[in-house]
Amino acid sequence: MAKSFRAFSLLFALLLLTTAPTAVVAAADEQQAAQFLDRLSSNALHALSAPETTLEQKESAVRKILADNFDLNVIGRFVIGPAWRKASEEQRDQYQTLFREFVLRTYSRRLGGYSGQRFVVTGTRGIGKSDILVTTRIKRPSGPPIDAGWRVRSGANGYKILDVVVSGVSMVVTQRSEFRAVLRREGFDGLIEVLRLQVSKFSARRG
Amino acid sequence: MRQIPDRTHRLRRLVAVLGLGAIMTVAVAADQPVFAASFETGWAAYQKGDFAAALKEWRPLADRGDTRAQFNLGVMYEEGRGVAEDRSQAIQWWTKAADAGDAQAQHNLGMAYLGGGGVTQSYDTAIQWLERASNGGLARSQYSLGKMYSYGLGIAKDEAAAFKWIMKAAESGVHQAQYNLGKIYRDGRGVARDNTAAIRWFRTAAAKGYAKAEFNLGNMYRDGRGVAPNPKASTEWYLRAAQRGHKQAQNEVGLRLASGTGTARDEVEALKWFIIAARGGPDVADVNKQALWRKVGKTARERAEALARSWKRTR
Repeated sequence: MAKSFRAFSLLFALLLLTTAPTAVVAAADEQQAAQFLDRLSSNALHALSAPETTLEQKESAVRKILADNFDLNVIGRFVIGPAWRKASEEQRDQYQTLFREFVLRTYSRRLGGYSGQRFVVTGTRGIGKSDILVTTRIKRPSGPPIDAGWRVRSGANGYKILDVVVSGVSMVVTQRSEFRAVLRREGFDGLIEVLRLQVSKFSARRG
Repeated sequence: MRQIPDRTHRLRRLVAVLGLGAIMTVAVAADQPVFAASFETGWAAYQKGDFAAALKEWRPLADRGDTRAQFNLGVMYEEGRGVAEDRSQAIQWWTKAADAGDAQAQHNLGMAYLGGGGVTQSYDTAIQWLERASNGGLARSQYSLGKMYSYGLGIAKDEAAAFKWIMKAAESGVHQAQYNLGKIYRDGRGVARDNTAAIRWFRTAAAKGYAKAEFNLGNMYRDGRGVAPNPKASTEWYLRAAQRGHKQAQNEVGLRLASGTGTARDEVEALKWFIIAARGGPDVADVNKQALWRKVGKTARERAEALARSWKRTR
């Protein structure tokens, strides 16, 4: 256990190291990745600024965009770390279903409220072995603009997002450390239970 | 010797309480229209996605002790709406509302302490808040608490307590709780085994389209537990769960169509269900798919593939 943990930490360190601009990604790929984010931005803008839409409708539109464009299976596996290998088929299945729901619910709420704010691509660079980091900026009517980085990977079904980095904080790394704390305490089944419960949080209410 | 109560003192306290109550009633009455108006203005802004405006309306209310505004402010901080995401601020607002008795705030606090988001993780605190909300009748908290007792999550495993809370939540209409109660009765955990009750609760959850309950009804009819064995009814329940995307049910339906159990034999439809069930990755459905794939002809494969492609899950 301790050995595999060390091995994994090493692997993770290597992964971080390789995020230095050593990656070999063609300029054409970077351009395509930028276009992918640009289209995503247009789609989101379209869904969020449609007149007469309720917050709930916006959230469900965002949910669909997220589901289509994030590779939640890959992200779900990554945030689990080495525990994934020891999990049974059934555990993995249950976990992935719950993780998907957890991410879609959290982020559609978090992003569903924006309207009329398009993000613009500010740059691209290679990251990891063959991924691309697309940086974007969202201007807000009040407050400073938000800079976000999107790690994307090209696959059989086009580009998919693997991570979002907002002000230097990576979504998957944050999630990973939270999940690992639960895994240490409760094991894989415990994490499944915690996830199952977490999706029951209440959102804003009228009365 | 028994102490004689100090009547004068008690009387004075009673007057004080009544007086305070009267003053408060007047104050609340005077404030009510303002409270209601600005809360509603905030809500309208929130629905439009104008979180800054919502915040402007709700913050003064929250500062004056309006628990709805406090709760919503907590949500805004947690979800980063109109403010930078700040989970410790979320916790502070929810704690204010929860202390004043707001059940949803108590529930969200319980969840925050359970997962350790914005606070130091603590099962004890999580359970305390969930118990308060549960005793106040909040069904989601009752279900959560029941699941924690059932699993032994941060608390000693206690099947009787799990049964008690899951039963309450099931009676309030939480469909996951109804399904879980069905399993509890079927397996006799924390209560005497009772297949008839199990069937009844599975049916209640299935009536709301809960796929796991439908799948379990398929099993009960297949095995004749709490009902007479009935292959046709069993296949029908499996089919409903399969339509909703339940993988094991899809595999079962495939098997039944392939062998003609409880339904007419149909290898193309069977192959369709195996293809759909095997999408999640290699497992038993994939093995079944390969076997049937080799058995049927090219036309049947193509038809099954086309059917699988155009299949849409029901919600």
